[in-house]
Amino acid sequence: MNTTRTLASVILASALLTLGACATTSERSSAPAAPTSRDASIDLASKAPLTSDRVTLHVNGLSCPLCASNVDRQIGTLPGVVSADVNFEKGTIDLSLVEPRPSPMTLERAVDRAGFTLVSIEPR
Amino acid sequence: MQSHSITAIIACAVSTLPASLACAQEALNMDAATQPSPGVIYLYERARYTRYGSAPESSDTPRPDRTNLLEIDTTIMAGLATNLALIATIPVERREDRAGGQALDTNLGIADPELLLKYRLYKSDSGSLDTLRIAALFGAEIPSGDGNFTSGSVDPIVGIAATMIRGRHGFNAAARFKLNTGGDRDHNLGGDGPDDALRLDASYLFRLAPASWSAQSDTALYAAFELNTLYETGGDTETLLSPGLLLEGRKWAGEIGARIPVYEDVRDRPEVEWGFVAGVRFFF
Repeated sequence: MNTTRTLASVILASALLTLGACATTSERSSAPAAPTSRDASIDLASKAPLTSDRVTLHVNGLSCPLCASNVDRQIGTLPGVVSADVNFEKGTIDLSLVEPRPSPMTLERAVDRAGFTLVSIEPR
Repeated sequence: MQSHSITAIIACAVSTLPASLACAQEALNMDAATQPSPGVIYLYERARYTRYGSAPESSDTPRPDRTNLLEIDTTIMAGLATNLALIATIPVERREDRAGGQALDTNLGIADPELLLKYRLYKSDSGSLDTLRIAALFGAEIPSGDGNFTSGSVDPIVGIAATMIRGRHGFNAAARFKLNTGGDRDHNLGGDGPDDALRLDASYLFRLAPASWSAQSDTALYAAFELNTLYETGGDTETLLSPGLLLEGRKWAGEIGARIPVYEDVRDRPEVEWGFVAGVRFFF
């Protein structure tokens, strides 16, 4: 047990030192995903179909690559959605749409089903 | 002895508390508050090898001085609703008891499968990468019918898990209680004997790469550090440190890790000497 405790202590100390060095690289992460201009965003409660063929969803909680699987399943399969591209850098999902386009409310519910939070929708 | 156990539990609880307040990517050996969305199925194959020391005096004769256990768990997690997922785990085990360098007994079989429901109690997505989630777990271990590996009883399980992600940093904290209604001491290697079992786990994951997400990023490498404590109501207590690496893509993840005891106060079963774990996860 003494040997294993010593070994564990050494591993833990080394790991903490390594992480301390790595953690000096900061990352934008705490700011909520939001469009650059709020005026351009769309009312999320609207039941009217979107009028644009290309929109960007600003989503909170997209923290890992596996998140994209949930997005693909819930949003990528909606009627009118041709493609859904997740951008982790910006916290966005770029949608290409065709008729019948989904409504903002439909998209908000789909994002919620995927396990995330829709902040805004921006036409592109 | 009892005071040592209480001290260990308090120490683990204290280590868990800041994690649940501050804190994830999913760790390797514990519950997390993450789950697949409706219609998504997640397959998790995990192999875990553990070497145990001498069995206690009260065990069978001749007494094993070493036990090797290889567990291969197949877990399927399915999203049933927005906040509800079903988790089914079937463990296949190979157990070898050895004494004086020779095998006393070797068995291969199916241990008791576990059926759990995970319900998300709370979700707060405070930033594009940041989230805090809390989930409850409830279910049971059901008898496999395999005489060498089953407790022969339905053992209810309740638990709670919290997951917090802040940029590159992920934290998990979890507690799980299993009410053992069967089981015997001779086959118990931790949590499966006649005593009830409380698991307290905490983990920290750090995203090693990429340092910052780019538009093209679709894989990530994490370093994981876990503290896994098992307390059995008979008084046996152990805490393992589990460092590991997790590589995650959009449809899969792979992981490797070690398991090293840092605290053991165990009288009714063999002590853990060391172990390692490797696993793969796939999303469908």
